Amino acid sequence: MKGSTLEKKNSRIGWTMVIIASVLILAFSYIPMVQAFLLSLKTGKGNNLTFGGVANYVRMLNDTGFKTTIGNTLFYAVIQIPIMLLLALLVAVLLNSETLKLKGFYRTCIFLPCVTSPISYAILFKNIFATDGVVNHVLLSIGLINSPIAFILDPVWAKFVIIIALIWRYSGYYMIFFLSALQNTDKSVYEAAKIDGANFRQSFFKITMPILKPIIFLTSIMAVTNTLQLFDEVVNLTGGGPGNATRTISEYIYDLSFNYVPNYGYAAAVSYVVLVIIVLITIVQKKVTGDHDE
Amino acid sequence: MRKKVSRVAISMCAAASMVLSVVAPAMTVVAETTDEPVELTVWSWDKTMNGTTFEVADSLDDDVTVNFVEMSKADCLQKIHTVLASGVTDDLPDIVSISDLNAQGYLMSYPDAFLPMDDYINYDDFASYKKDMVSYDGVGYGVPYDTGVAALFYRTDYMEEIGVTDEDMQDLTWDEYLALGEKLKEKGHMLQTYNPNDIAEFQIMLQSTGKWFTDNDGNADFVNNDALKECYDVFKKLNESDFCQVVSDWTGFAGAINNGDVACVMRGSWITSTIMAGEDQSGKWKMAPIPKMSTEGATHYSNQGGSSWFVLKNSKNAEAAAKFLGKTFGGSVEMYDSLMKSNNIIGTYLPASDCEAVEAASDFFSGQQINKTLVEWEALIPSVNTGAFSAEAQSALLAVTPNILNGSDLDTELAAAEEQFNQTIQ
Amino acid sequence: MMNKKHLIGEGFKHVFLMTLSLLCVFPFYWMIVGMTNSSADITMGKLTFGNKLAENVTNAFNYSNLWRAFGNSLLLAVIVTGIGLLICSIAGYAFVVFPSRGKEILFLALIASMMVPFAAKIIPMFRMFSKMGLLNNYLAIILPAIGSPFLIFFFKQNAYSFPKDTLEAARMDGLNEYQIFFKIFMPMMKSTYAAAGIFMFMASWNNYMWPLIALQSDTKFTLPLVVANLASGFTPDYGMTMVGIVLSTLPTIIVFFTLQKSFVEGMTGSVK
Repeated sequence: MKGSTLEKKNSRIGWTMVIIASVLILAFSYIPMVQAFLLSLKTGKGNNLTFGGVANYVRMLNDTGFKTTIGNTLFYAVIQIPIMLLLALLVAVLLNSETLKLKGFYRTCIFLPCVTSPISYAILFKNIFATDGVVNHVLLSIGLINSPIAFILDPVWAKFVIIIALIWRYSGYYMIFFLSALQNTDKSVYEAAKIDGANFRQSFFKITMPILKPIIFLTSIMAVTNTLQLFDEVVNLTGGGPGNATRTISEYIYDLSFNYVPNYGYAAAVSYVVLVIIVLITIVQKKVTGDHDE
Repeated sequence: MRKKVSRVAISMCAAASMVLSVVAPAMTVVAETTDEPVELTVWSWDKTMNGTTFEVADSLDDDVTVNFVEMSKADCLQKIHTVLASGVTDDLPDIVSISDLNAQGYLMSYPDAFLPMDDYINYDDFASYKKDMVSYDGVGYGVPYDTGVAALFYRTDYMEEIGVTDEDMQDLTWDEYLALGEKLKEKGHMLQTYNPNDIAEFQIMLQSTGKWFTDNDGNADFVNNDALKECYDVFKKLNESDFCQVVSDWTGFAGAINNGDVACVMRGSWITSTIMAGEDQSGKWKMAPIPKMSTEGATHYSNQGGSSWFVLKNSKNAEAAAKFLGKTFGGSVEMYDSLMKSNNIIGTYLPASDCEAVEAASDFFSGQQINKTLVEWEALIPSVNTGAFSAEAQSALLAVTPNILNGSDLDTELAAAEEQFNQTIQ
Repeated sequence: MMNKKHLIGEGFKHVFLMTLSLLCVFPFYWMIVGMTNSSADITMGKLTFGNKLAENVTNAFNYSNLWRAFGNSLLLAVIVTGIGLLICSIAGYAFVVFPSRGKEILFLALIASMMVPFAAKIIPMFRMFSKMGLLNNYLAIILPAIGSPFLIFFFKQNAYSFPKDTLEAARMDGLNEYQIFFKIFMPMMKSTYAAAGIFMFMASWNNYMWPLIALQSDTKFTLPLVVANLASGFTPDYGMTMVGIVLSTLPTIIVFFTLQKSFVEGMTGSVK
């Protein structure tokens, strides 16, 4: 009897604690989302809309623009996210060491890229990867290539320049989430392990990884969400070119809404497909990574 | 216990609302009194150019004051779309600028959103190709503003090195022009920049023949468009040549000019400000008509870029804004004269074509009467119906351009682009 | 023997981290250098300091009211970070400490909301805030920003490492649930708050597309909007643009610098 009133009270407190943030998110996300969904059932240019049912969703099946951009976007995600998260994790673990000198310096430096404005680093990246840029100079001088590569203008290389830019820019950002989680762990656990004779690798897989599991799950979902909505980097670095080789799905949605004669219904339909893809990937991630409370 | 809980909750809410109430009053809009001049809000881009223009216009009309809100061009166009698509009518700007190639799209998308301007300006006072761009279904909506008369800017010192005179530059064909590249290369100069991912020059080349990416009905005109095919022919030659400075964006493009890498630049006349940023090159540049294509109807004259002003019908001061535009952009030679003097802006208002500033000679361009020449050319530009789908057409073409450059069959690729175009515009 | 191996290991770590640091700092260095060079020098890729700093600074501040925009951004960032941290951390905490089926579903709904591309939500959101009469009002920026699904998620994931026995001990001591949150959880999770604060500050500071649409008068524009204008003319002046960019990156660096100390301290305040 006493237990159940306590439970009731706790449940009420629990709901009170989540209510403010939840109401804000639900109101400002779900009302627009519902409207966007209704819009996705309409066809026409600008404000000349008529109900079209699933016409927009059918249209995507034959749309090469959609297929190319969604393909590019998934390609970025598959290559970039694992490399970036591993790098972020590795650096965080290294910087978590008690004895390492210059920790603060390294930490600040590695964090810096994510505050750099896209306008400025895009100019620089294009300089570095230009045919007469630093990268070509180095590759030529060590004999890896015979003639300079036009990185930004080559359909395949341009994708890799973008991936490199993303890894460069966001590894330090994800590092802080790992770092803060590592700081929440009890140091005595490591010391005990050390006394037991565990080496770095053992304590990493036996202690660090399990502690970080919820954060790895979090960062991977975050990274998927961000990469599938990738926009700024590509617009600033390659503008989606050459041809459509680096164009992302977000850039395509933007074009459909604001660059072309607007087709808001179709843009909304494409957005919903992106949502479904992210949700599906997230479910898979949850199965693979296994969230804490599973 | 329960009291404590609610107290915490209440104090949290109180704290939040306190912070918010500090912010809120800063937001309230000050009401206008009727005695004051009407304040017109303008959404546009490029304060140096468009902002100055409105300052000048503002100074000519005592009935209004202009509040110029600057955004980058893409942002401005996006914002206008959002506002009009939402159907919201409060807090609308009175005047917005829209680039000419986008204008038809806006007029088609938002019926009844823009104020017809036929009663406020006389469209016969403007270059005829501009009128077509800002009208829809026979009604004029836009007030034509600037133009980008296309020209071939070249380095006189480099041309001298290869024995080419100013006279030689006046009536070039594309073959003759490209042949200059070989000679320049021997002297260590590049002919021009080349960006395989940018077909903006096609706009100039197509319009010089009176053609466009689309036909009069807005359908793709790719496969049977000889002018477009010639564009790709030239583009391929540039791609295969060794006398072009390959660039990937505006920075590289501007850098190649200011760095003295290239001998020629073909663009709308607004490029002069970029060229003139290389102050050490003063007196080393001149301007010639663009090379002529071999397609039927080809001329030496074309246009690239330009924008116009539109009044939003539901804005608070729509009427006053329309009158203001009519008085200034549609009626003041003095304004255009002053703009030409201060910013080299070439308007499309015909009565201003013999204003004082037109006669001025430019030191930077070796004493050439730049403005006068451009105004003369402006009258010779073939009029084309650019329709609403220029952006879509260029995207579709850009998507197949890498294949074309790699030697794939032109007709096949253009047909594929046409299919993609039809996909996009449905 | 053991020591030598240890030293080599340390050496490798330093070489690796130093290389990484240089790669990361270089673009930043370049940005600072750009501030002192002319636009033409920047487009030509000059990498040494020039003498145009004063000119660029003057041009940038003459062009736009950068300080006002800076102040606007700062005000918004402080409010959004402060309130956001509070309401999101307490929500994330409650999802772990008071789990229930209903909350699990709510949580998934919150997470799903960040997966819709923003471009699709802009027009409905604009209409919504217009109906509320909040266009051109900072509330339109603050309200959607303070409820961050990611932040709730982040606090939720970190709350798992909040020891159960600490929680029970506090309840035994007679603290109520809010006191436990404010007096025990908050001080203990300092490094989580630090990381979350950096995240929230950056999200607010760099927020671009929505303020662009929701704010109408340029006196209310935030710094990113104004800085974007610097480079938007037909002839972008990259020299003065760099001044704006440096100005807009400094606060984030300062915030990071200040908050990163708590990464070092970690759970020192741990109550046992």
